[in-house]
Amino acid sequence: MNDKSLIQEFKENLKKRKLIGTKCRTCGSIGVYPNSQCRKCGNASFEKVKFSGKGTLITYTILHAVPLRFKENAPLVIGLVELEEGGRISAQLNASQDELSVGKKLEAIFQEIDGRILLKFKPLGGI
Amino acid sequence: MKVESIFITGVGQTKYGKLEGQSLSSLIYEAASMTLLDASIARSQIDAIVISNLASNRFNDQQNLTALCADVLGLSGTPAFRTGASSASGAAAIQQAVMMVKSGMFDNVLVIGVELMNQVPTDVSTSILANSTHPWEQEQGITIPALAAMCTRLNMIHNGLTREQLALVAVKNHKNALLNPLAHFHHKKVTIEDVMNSPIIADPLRLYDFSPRSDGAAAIIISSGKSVKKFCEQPIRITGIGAATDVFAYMDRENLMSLDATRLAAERALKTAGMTQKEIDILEVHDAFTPLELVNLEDMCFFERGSAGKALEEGITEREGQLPVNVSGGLKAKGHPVGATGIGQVLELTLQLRNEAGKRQVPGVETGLAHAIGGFGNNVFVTILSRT
Repeated sequence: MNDKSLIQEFKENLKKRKLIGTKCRTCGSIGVYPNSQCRKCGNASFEKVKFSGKGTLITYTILHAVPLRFKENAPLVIGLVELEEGGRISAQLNASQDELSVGKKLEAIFQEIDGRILLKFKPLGGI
Repeated sequence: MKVESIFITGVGQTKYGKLEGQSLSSLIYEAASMTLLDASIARSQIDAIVISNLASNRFNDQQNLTALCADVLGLSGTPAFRTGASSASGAAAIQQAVMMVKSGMFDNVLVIGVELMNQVPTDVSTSILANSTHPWEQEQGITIPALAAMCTRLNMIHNGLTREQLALVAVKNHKNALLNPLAHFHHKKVTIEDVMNSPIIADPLRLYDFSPRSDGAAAIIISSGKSVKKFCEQPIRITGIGAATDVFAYMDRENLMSLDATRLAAERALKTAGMTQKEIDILEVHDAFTPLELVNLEDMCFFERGSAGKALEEGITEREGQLPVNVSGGLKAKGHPVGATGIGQVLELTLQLRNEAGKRQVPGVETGLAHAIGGFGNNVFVTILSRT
């Protein structure tokens, strides 16, 4: 499958509130946001991986200077999450400052904003 | 392949800063005219132009800078090219010119970088600069400062980087800029408290950790050895060039704590120059954000991992230290007119190597290294210069 259809499929799945990535058939490395070539081994044949949405916070920031279209939502809490099946994804977090710590267990949520589904993460078991 | 027979024969730049009443044309004209004068070269001897700019189409509603530049300089007819490598475009333009001259097709290439950023409000500029990130990152609202902040946090946790060390980078580079009359912040002294009390932009990074939005232009002439004998009294030799790219999205990189493209570009540049880190006297390092100066010095193996901050505290990277870094003031305080920045760095090294850097001259400088980053470590260019 080419890059376009892989990305389309990833986004279609997000709309259905499903987080589905790729696993390289050659080296087994897992990608969340799709890429047409495996970055590790260069092959281009993938099988699907369905993520549970649970993961660990690797690092984060609270971003005050945001691009124009996010102005209403500033500051944005942004984190890099390692999913329990492998693979990483950066996303906005629904978490207060005192809930933020590296190593924190998180889970995916799908939030509808202006008619589009945004993948976010929140503390596991939190509100 | 060695690049040993390529020379810098002229340099010139405008003041960097928030410049009122300037246009792309006026900045290009000023920087290029100074450069031609500096090289004592006739306009007719320029056989090609390379121009570098990030986003004149967004900042100034102007595209086609190649034609504009040739026309403004009265050089219509001369071939003109443009390079793009995000905020490393200026350094990319220099390396392209080096390869053009090395190919034998051109003897004297004029390289010009320009950016006029203050014609749009800050939030528009933030959005334009965020276009350099991966499409997924853009959809989440993630900017380059956000990526730098996440990388900084990891370095604080795992490599002993401290908030005070970041502030010290800003203090050092502002101090250096006091001696650079063309710097954006030529008159602004900054203390550790100023940095620590400035507003948070991307936690843990604060306003004074960031370079300003600058207007400005810088230019240099790259010449062949054949040409240099004819007109240049004090040519500076380009002895090494190296470039590298990295995985586009930060989330997809194996290494989250440093920039692999910096390591690769530096290795390649040192290899083409046949030099080691110990033989470099002075550096201009891309410090659009304070942590970048420290992390990249480590990536280029000038200091061991986790020890650049200590070297800074000990004064090693001060102007009077053993290994001066960003004596121009760096992007942090000299300023960051994006398309011009990489050229301005090489200009500073050229002045230092010619012993023409005025009050900020570092004595006895024989070699220098310039390091430029595009995006968050996406494109890196390292250029090494020597006195001839």
